[in-house]
Amino acid sequence: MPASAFRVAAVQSALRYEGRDAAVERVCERIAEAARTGARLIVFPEAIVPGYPAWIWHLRPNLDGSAIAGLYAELLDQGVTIPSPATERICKAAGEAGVYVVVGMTERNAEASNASLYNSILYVDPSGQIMGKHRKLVPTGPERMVWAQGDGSTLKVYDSSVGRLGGLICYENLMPLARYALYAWGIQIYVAPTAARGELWLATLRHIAMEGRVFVIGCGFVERRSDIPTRYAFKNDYQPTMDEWIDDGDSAIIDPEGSILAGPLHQAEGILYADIDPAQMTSSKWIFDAAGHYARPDVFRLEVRTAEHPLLVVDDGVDGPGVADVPG
Amino acid sequence: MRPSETPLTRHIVAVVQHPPVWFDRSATLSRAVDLIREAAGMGATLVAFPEAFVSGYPFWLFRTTPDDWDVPAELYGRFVESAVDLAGDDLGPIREVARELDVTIALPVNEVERRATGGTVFNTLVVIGPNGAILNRHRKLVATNAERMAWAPGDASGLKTIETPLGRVGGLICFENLMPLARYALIAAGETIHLAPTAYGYDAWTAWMRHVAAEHRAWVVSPSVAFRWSDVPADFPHADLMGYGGSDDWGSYEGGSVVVDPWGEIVAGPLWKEHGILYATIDTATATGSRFISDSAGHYDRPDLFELTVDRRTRRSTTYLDDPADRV
Repeated sequence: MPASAFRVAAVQSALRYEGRDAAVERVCERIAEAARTGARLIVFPEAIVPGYPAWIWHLRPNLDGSAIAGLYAELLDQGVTIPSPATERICKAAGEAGVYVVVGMTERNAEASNASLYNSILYVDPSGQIMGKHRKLVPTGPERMVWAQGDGSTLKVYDSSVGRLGGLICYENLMPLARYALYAWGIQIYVAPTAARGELWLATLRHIAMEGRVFVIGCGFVERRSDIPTRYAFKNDYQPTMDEWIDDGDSAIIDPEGSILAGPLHQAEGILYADIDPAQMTSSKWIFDAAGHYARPDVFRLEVRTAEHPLLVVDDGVDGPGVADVPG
Repeated sequence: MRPSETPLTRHIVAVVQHPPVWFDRSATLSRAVDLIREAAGMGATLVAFPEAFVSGYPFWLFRTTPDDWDVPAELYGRFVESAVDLAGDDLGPIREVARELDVTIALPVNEVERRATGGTVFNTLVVIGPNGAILNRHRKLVATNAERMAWAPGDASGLKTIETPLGRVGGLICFENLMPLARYALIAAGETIHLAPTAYGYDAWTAWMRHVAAEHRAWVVSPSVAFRWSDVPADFPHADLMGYGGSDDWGSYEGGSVVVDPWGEIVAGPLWKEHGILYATIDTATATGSRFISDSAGHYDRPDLFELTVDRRTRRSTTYLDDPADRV
């Protein structure tokens, strides 16, 4: 835990449908900008590289099937392999700025079929190294038609020089057991990249801040009708009840007492900043500590399985299962 | 209800935001009966009361020093004497009025077992059915902060949902609503109405209740303690030590009773700095459809990664093994 106050940033980007490389460049520009303003941890929205597939909430699998297949192929093509030149570019920006970066992305499963996708967040440290990634455990509603479910191996809390860092993506934040695991691992800074917005989402962020006695960085994106390229046929009848603002953003940074330090940033692109007082990470636990003095381990026993579940384990009959894959 | 009748899903619930008569069980029960009659007269079939209604939330724990041995001892004595012993049928008048008016009643009490030591109190939520029977007794699992000096931690034998004419009812008391595992246990038990009596009169409570409703996809019925210092009886022991002398303020007990639907939208309240009864018409069928997008212990869960075991066995301090009666 750092001794003195430090600054964090939530970058509320716009959904632009410009593809992976353009999205990565924008991420890198915002990393540099937020770092110049003094941020030591910079958080980006859910799936912002190459962009959240918002069309999945709109199109009908039967009636719009061919359009969806094309959009899925494009999402695969623009998906991010970890590691790859796209992640190296982000790592370089983080390293040059000397900051922690958390970026939401659609991740391609390069380790297996290379044709499925995960909703992931990538963690990068100030030396430009990948700390790890988290694959969303359960995609929400129609998201299940484009994203697969991550296994337990990516549910983690990372040590960092600004505190113990971790998080969940969008409606994963409504999974009590996943949150409890993070609390039990001592999370202090909780990132919540999301596509959700509005008063109810803000209520969820405040609830989690007070339940976990953590700083919560909720980071969403905005979506403007005018940003949807005309080459997408769905633009014509997309969300007809809404005008220009299809997603309002509403990123917010909350302290462990549930107070809103910054935001919600509504219907605007921009960067939210907040100065975090690390003393609150511990003092707020006096009243409540979900996986400590306010737990009942005699009543509740939670088992979490964090084993990796590879899609294929190769047993070549020589060295035992899987060893052929060990490098070196 | 005759078997041929279609069950009705629409109900009026009443949330009581009135003070009790501290340390006077009989007067408090009379007040409760009057309030139940008033609510039933408005068509309510569920009447819910705030935390520790019988016979009063122990605010004195937060305003006295344990170092004054005689002072807390005297207050504790009054607290224990005015508590409710279920085995002694102290709630007889409530059971009677429930039967007479055909209503379900959620009544939080300070609970004592006079046939045990008679010196320990639990923070208990009692649910009484329209037949006058006690359907459930949930003892708060963890008391909060200074409360731990006056309330013992309960076992989890009441951590369950019960069938009522309104649907499956569960409940947690005050900060228990920040316990992810306790809430998960009720979600998994199919709760459709969640009772959340509290004494936490801050605006964050509304945010918690909205999050809880959305996470449980259940109706949240949350009665909150609300009183002015002038509502505390003038002869309250050691009132002079508690720093509110002559004040007509609401202290930190400003209410905030609220009813929230399974989507997380507020349907009644929050009621601040007022006494009264909050009414809401709820349709318990709503809970089912709202689970399309999220069902925290169902399709939005990962039982392959998380496995929760809940020990709901009744804990008894002593088991006496005696001679058979014919040998005495």
